[in-house]
Amino acid sequence: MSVLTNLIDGFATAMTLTNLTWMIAGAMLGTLIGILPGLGNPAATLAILLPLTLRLPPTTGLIMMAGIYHGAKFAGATTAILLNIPTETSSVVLCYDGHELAKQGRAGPAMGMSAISGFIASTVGIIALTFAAPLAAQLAVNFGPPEFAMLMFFGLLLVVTLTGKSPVKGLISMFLGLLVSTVGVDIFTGTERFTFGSVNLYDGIEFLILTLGLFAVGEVLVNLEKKRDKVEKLNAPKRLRDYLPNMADFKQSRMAIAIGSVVGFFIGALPGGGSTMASFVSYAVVKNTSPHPERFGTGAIEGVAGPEAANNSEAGGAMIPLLSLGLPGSASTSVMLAALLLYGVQPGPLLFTNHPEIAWPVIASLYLGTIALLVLNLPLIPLWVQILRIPYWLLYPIILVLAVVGAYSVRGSIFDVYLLMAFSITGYLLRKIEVPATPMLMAFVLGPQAELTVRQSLMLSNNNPMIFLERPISASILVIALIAVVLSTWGRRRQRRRASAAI
Amino acid sequence: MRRADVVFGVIVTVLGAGALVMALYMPFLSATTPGPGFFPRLVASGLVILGLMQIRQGFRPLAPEVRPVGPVSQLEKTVHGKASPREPGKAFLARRPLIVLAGYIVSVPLFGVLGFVVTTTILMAFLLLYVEKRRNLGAYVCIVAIPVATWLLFVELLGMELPNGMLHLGMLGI
Amino acid sequence: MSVFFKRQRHVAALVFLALFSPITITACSNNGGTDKKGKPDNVQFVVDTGPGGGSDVFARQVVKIALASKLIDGNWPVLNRPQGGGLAAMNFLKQKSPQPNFIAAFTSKWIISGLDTPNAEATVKNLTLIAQVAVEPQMVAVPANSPYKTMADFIAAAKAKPGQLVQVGGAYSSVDNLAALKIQQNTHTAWKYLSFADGGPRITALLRGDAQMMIGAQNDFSEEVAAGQLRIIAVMGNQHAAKFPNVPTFAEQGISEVGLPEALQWRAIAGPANMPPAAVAYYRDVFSKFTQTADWKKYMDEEGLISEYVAGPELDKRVNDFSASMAPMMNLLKSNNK
Repeated sequence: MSVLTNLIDGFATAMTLTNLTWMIAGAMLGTLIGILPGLGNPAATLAILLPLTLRLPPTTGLIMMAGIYHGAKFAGATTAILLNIPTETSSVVLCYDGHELAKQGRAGPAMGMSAISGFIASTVGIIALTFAAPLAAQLAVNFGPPEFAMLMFFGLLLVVTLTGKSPVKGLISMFLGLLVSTVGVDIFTGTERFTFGSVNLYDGIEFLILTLGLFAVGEVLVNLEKKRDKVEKLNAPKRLRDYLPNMADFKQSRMAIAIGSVVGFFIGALPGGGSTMASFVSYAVVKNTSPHPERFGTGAIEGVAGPEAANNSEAGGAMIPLLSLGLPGSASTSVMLAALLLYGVQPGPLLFTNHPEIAWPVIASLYLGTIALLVLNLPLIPLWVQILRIPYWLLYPIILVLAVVGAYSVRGSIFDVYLLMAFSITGYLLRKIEVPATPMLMAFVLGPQAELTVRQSLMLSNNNPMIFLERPISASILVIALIAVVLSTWGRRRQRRRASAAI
Repeated sequence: MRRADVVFGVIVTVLGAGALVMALYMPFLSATTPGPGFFPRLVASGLVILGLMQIRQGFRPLAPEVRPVGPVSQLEKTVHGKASPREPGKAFLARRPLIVLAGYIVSVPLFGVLGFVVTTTILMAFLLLYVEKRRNLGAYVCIVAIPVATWLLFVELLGMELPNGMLHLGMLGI
Repeated sequence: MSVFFKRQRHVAALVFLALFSPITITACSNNGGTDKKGKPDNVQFVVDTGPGGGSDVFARQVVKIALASKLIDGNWPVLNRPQGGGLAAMNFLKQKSPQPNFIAAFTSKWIISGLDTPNAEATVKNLTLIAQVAVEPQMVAVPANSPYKTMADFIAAAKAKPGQLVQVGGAYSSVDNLAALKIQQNTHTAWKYLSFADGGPRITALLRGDAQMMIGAQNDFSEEVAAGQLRIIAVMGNQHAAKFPNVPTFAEQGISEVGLPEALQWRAIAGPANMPPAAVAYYRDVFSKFTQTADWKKYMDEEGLISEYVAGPELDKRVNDFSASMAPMMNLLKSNNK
């Protein structure tokens, strides 16, 4: 149980007044910068604030970075819920139910739920890190290309269940996402695919540009069709208690938080997993296990709680490859590793033996960061929600301007702004003909991994597809995926029978 | 027949076919692995098939669609299998979004010429004064204040980069 | 109107908070002039990776050391232009020509990307080469429990099982794959190259046994080697690594490196084409002093890099030689792809 004692020591070190002050400052700065489009990605926010944190001593600096990380994550949730602008990839799912809630005047509860479920999941994550680390580390090493390929296959199956009323349209959306994801130079052979010779497309299309176009701008254009008086402003809560989630919300979200925490932790533990996949998969799982899946997409609070839980316990999971192998599990942990390098600490499997005075307080502060966030941001939610009081005639030009800023600042290229325009038109037209955009985004995230890992697996096995069945973990995932398909079909038949009985 | 659905199906089919042709130029198998053309060909073929299915569905809107996969939200269920209720004689595309979109797109090439602040000011003026017809003090202040504030925040405070103009006045990137 | 003023207050609060935070140190004016001594204002450091990537960390480390040793007086913010393995960074510098206040951390990868992309908008020719600062020796690692004690063992095994052993690495045109292809040609063997976009999965592939070998820089493995997970079996080039003095070079193991350039991976500083000579002189002065600092030498030792300051015609010659020796290797790559 040396992990436990080390962790307690870590908490003791982290909880000095100086460290806590810097952590809270970090959480505030992270929130303020993270709400800006293009900077919402915690990795980008961390990179911007890196020069500042480097002036502090290593432990304090890294603790402040933990604060920034959580602040930026919460900011991503804020803009997704309030304005339908996902500033970071893992908060895209929140546009789905979170923004619907905001439209219904329940932005406060959605944001509160995001912070609270994040806090609960972080607790689960840190407990799991303490007790399940050896198991998860073993899993992380054994998770190779065939296992990932099956996980991606499972993920794409889950996407199919999100296609909504017209499966053909949903599948078209998913395949469009897959097609867009193949743009760029193929890592295996260096072949250009759908780049039309433009260097700007060599590394593919940025996820943020796709989401800004499909969600933020697409939504604005659809809203502009309505008569002016109907969209004058979004509903802001009127009474104080409407700013926080109520007991009924918690009751509805219990299972979602539990599922999200577990899913997030394990996906976080896989090198190359990441919070986007964690939040997507947990949304799909939560929806498919819910007794009322039809509420999702129309403002279900579980649709906020599940992904946000996954998003936060992922941070605990991501510490596992870091702990056992010294490998970053996600973009944000790799920025933290870069900071370690700049402090002259070589990250690696010996990090925790050679520099326990740095490593453990940082893990502790990742947890303390969620508490700081809860304390800081719950009272501030009513303030954030005031954004909704801006009349729509002023709000939508601001959204359009911020979308341009976001698209431009990801890579500093005007080409990306043209792409934003193209995806905005696509997003608008897709909405007009009732094609859901979510399958496209999810397929866009899962597609490249799916392709890469299938090809890697087949390379290892000399093009023998049996590799997927021969390896125990990949075979088990395949079985779970098949069971899920059977259950889903069975559930649908039951639902149809219930529906036809009601008529 | 729902014209929008049929047109969408045609577009998807054409897009898929185009992608398929391009993918045929990429090797399907390379020396040791499925090649770069492997996945794009599968996806493009899928799009062609789905596009054709979409066209077929568009032609018979009143027949129930293919059974949904997984649960369907209540909002969607109310219109499932039937064409959505539509206002008769309403144009497919409304005027206001198109005007806004046009202004938005025209502004993109201007960013490289006039710089971020001037272009955004023009865009805001176009949207607030022309499209929304808000000619009050608040609107005028916003038209100038928001671009400048955005610039100060991103460029001066955060050290990021936004498009600079060609005049090189050295102020606000104009 | 009250609504409007609420928004104003909100913005004001944001600006206020941001103003009082120390991030204003990154604030800067936007004119790229120079003072009398050719010292440019507001220098920005362009890199070809995202935050946390190899060149990004390198550039930040350079700025940190230069600031600490008072060679520069203001922070040089790092600009990330990660697309196309240096192509986007070169395009960016081309657009900035001849401004003196942009420099880039430039690596041998940029030359390869240029050779690999016939229609590239900008290549190394569009740069002003300032100085080379470091050489990154490449070495070969295997899992600690691997049966291959030397590179010769590995080659022998590859001969026995042609096309079956797996090397793990990054994109197909990366330096380690090019080097491996040349060695396969020299030794008449063949093995597979498994690509991963990130560094983490590469190491786990070795640990899991999916891949048998990896070629990389010392800091790709040093911690894993110290933890007893990996083992170094050979060093490329003709120098032993200071940290692993007992590991023999390729030549010592009788493996031919004919056709490979002397230094496969190096780090250099470049600016936009037609940079004013005064500015070039200023940067050369800074970096020649910089490579003499104790902090830099310490960093080089930790990372397993060799500090080597080269500038002027000597540097041009090196870059040309490198391009010349890379061209046949690119052909090898293309023929292997079919």
